[in-house]
Amino acid sequence: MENNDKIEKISSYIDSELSSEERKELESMLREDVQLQEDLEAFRRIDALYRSLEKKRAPSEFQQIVRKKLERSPRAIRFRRPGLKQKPVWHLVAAAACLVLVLAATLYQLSLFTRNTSRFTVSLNRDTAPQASPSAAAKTLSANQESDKPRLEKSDTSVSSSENAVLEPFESQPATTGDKTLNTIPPVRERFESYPETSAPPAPMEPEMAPPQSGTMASTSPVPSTMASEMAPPQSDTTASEILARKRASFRSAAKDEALSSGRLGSEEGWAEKTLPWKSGSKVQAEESNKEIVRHLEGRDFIFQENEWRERGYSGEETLSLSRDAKETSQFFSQHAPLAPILQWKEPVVFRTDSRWYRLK
Amino acid sequence: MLRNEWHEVSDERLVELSQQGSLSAFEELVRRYKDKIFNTVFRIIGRMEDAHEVALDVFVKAYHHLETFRGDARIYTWLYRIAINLAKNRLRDGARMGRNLGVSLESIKEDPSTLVSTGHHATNLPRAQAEVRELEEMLQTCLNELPDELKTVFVLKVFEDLSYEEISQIMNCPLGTVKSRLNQARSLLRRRLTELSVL
Repeated sequence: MENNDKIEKISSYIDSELSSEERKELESMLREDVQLQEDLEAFRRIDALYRSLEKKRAPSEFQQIVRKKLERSPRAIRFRRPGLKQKPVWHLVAAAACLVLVLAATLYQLSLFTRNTSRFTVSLNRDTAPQASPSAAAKTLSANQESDKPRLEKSDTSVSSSENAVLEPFESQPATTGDKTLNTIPPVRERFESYPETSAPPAPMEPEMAPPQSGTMASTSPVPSTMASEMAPPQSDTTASEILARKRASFRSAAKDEALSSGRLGSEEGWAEKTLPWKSGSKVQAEESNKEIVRHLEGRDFIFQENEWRERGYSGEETLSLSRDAKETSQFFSQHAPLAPILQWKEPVVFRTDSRWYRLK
Repeated sequence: MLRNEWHEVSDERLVELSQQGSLSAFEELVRRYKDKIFNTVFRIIGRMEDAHEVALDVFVKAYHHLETFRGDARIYTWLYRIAINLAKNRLRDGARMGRNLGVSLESIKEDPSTLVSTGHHATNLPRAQAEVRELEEMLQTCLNELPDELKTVFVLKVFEDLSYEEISQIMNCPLGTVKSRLNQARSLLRRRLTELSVL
């Protein structure tokens, strides 16, 4: 065994991290090797010196400072569908796929448009022209149109007129010229509406089950909101985004129904709150059977449940709310002095007195 | 007087309740581990004021990232990991800003009384106490001069008495690396302390 190996073994020896065989082997070497004994002694003294140093303790106000800091910046509790693990890579893949889809759709639109505009006999009726500003692609095309001026009915048309002209094919209304070539490609709105209403919703990336008030919901919904708007044809046509929004809503509704019917959620009101982000439904049930955390006061037991203290016996009855800061609450507790210590508790407290249930918030 | 009902609750349960939003449950975790975290951070950084700030940040950061804690390891190993990363960042920032994190060993070698004169506690203490303080500061200074990785392993082993397995989890390195770093740390400290006639 080399010297470095021996010293490393000594280090492990004083930390009791050697196997019994290694320990025996080293002990036999120690009996014969004086240098090794000195090394062992030196290491032991170093450890003893450092262990003798005073253990620094956090200042007495440390815990209060932590609490104040946490209260100033409360943690956002995120909700997601139980049973589904978060897969960040999958999110990226899905986002990339959406992007490709959007690009493909845009290119397809452009190619159709380019192919058809050359065959259009464009009407330059200013009264029926859309008011929206042209897209970049439309601007490019309008420049091309400039070179076709002899084909236009009004050769002295200004640039804005030609811009209006090239926007016409995007309009959902059929062209008024009666040119058959206009009818060979259905209007964009029709193509989006041809997406069957009853078909299955698009595969979700990581469907969020939280209601809209959840902060993370908007950014991680199955179909990104930007996708819906990008898929819609420029300016006027909002039908595609409406369809996508409807499908998103129906998917969420189905997921919620499924959760309610499977018994994971007790009631519709609490469906999001009871859907914990990091646990499956079965695990939640298992945890609920864990040992109770009980606080005793004046012969009453208060059990810590759903982030509030509930007096034993409470089973969801209607409660009268009391606010800690309210004057009436002070009066109430002056009449019920034995219960006054609960005013100091940090969480809401549900308790019973005078045959009524109260919730102190 | 109310008994603290959180005392008997396991770490795992406290983590679950904290993840569900209970600040009281998280406070109990703070109560349990604040001293360990504080001592570890202090031994790595070597300055009380910085240690205080970093230890606070450890718990604030832990609370805000609690949902990422999957329960594969014990909560304290996770807290130690955060503490060590934040302590390293503080050391790196201090070095970048040219802050002196203590008295250098060279100055101690030249004039051991430097420690007594610079230590704010030591000036008016009786001689025996002053000597103890001097030794403490010398040991801490030797520790400060170790490379960060070696110092961290040594602190976790000697001050916190963690196993090699736990240290490898905290530092995210193989067990063999822990052994090797610990051996290097002890060897370097031995050389330094021998030079200073402490050993």
